[in-house]
Amino acid sequence: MASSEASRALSTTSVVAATKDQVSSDLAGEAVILSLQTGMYYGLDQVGALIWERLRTPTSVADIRDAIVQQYDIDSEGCERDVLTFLQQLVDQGLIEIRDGTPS
Amino acid sequence: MRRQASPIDPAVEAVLQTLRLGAEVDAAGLARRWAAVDPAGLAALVEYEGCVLWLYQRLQELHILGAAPTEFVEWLSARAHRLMAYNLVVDAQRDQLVRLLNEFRVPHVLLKGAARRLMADVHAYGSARTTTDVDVLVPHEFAGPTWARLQSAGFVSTPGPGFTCEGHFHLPPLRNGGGVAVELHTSTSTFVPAPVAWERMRGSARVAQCQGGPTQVPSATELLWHGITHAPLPHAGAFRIRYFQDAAVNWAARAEIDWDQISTRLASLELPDPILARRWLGTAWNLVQPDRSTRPIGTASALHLGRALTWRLTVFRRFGEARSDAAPQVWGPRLVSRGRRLLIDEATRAELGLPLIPQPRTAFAPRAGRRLAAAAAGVCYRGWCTLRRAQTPMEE
Repeated sequence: MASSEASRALSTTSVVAATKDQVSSDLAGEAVILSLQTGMYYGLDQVGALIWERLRTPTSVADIRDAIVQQYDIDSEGCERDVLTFLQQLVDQGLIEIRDGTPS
Repeated sequence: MRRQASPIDPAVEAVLQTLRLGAEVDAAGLARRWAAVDPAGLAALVEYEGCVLWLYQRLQELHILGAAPTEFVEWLSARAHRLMAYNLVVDAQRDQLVRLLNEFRVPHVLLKGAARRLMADVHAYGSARTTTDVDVLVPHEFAGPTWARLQSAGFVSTPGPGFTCEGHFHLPPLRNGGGVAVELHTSTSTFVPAPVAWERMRGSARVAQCQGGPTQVPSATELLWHGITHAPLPHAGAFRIRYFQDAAVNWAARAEIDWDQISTRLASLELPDPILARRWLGTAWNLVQPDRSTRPIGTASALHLGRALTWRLTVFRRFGEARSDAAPQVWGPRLVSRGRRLLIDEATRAELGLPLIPQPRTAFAPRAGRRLAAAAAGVCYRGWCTLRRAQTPMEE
């Protein structure tokens, strides 16, 4: 799905947050997200759900990366790449937005 | 004297052990049990019982989902995500309704699934159920004007075929294009006057927050009681896990339930068949704690759930889908679906000692045909019991 957000580049300093056009629910540690705009739903595994939980409030990509690295004891560089890819997919689907400013 | 129990299908045993709340679970043993399960017909059984979300959550939380047969896990996972997504649609409708009711300053209490979805913190697995519409109780004098105001706010009345307000305790359903119906209730049952229903629900309700603002949800006692009255007794379909769940999660959460109040209501004329309701409660209790000595309702004798589900699974296996990867069509109008439901319903009725019931409002010939088919289904079940040397007492 094309989005105006998609044209904005994501970087570790970007601040991202869930949009208002979605609702989500925990499902035994996973997450299910429903886009209210498209009616499509998405399933996130436990790592995705952990990231999603942080996206409920504006958060920097670097903070998300650090939380994952701390939780799963993986290398920071690979984690950053994966997190950016994942967040870009969420941006493309209109589930999160890139915000200006600093995280709250 | 208790005779030897009939064999319960290993798949049924695994499902029941996984669902059961309030007891210690040997996760490793249960994983081994799941690994040995024959998945044939299991998806259809779980769909029929309406326990997809509950089972999925339990398997995940016990970390044994991967032990179950792959094709079943794939189906269960996809189905659970789909149902949860639909619950989110219902949540969004609930939020919108609450926002409007607050705007209109209409006092209200959410009912059934709409309430339970907001109470996951209190009753674990209470929200792990499929919710199809938003039910809300309002004072009788507010119901008509609120129904009209909602229509001016974009809702449209969409009564189903044959719907009539007469004798009903809710107004015709409203929709606003979102697909999820809203029902304004004036009572919780045909047998409870509107002022009594409001006093009960409102009097013990607690405040909850949703995205639509503050709202109210019923107390544990009222949720349990509404679970009993909402189960479509005396129909055999009430003896499905979907309905038992509403009672079981309250118990399992050790919620403060006023059992004196429940007993008083069971002894009143509020339910068409209080004895059957007690047996229904006793069956629900088996999903909480198999220790019968602690059963709170006392003497309620229950349906043998393991045996009932084994028969149901046998029916789904025997008359299953031609393709193993096909989605189970449990509720459709197709002849095979209706036939399976008849076999299941009549077996439940036979276990409970209930008479055959022909479909209402049909002409004599169809009624006679239905009765004949029901009798044949009952004979099939008894024959199956004999073949399995099922010498178990009818109750557990």
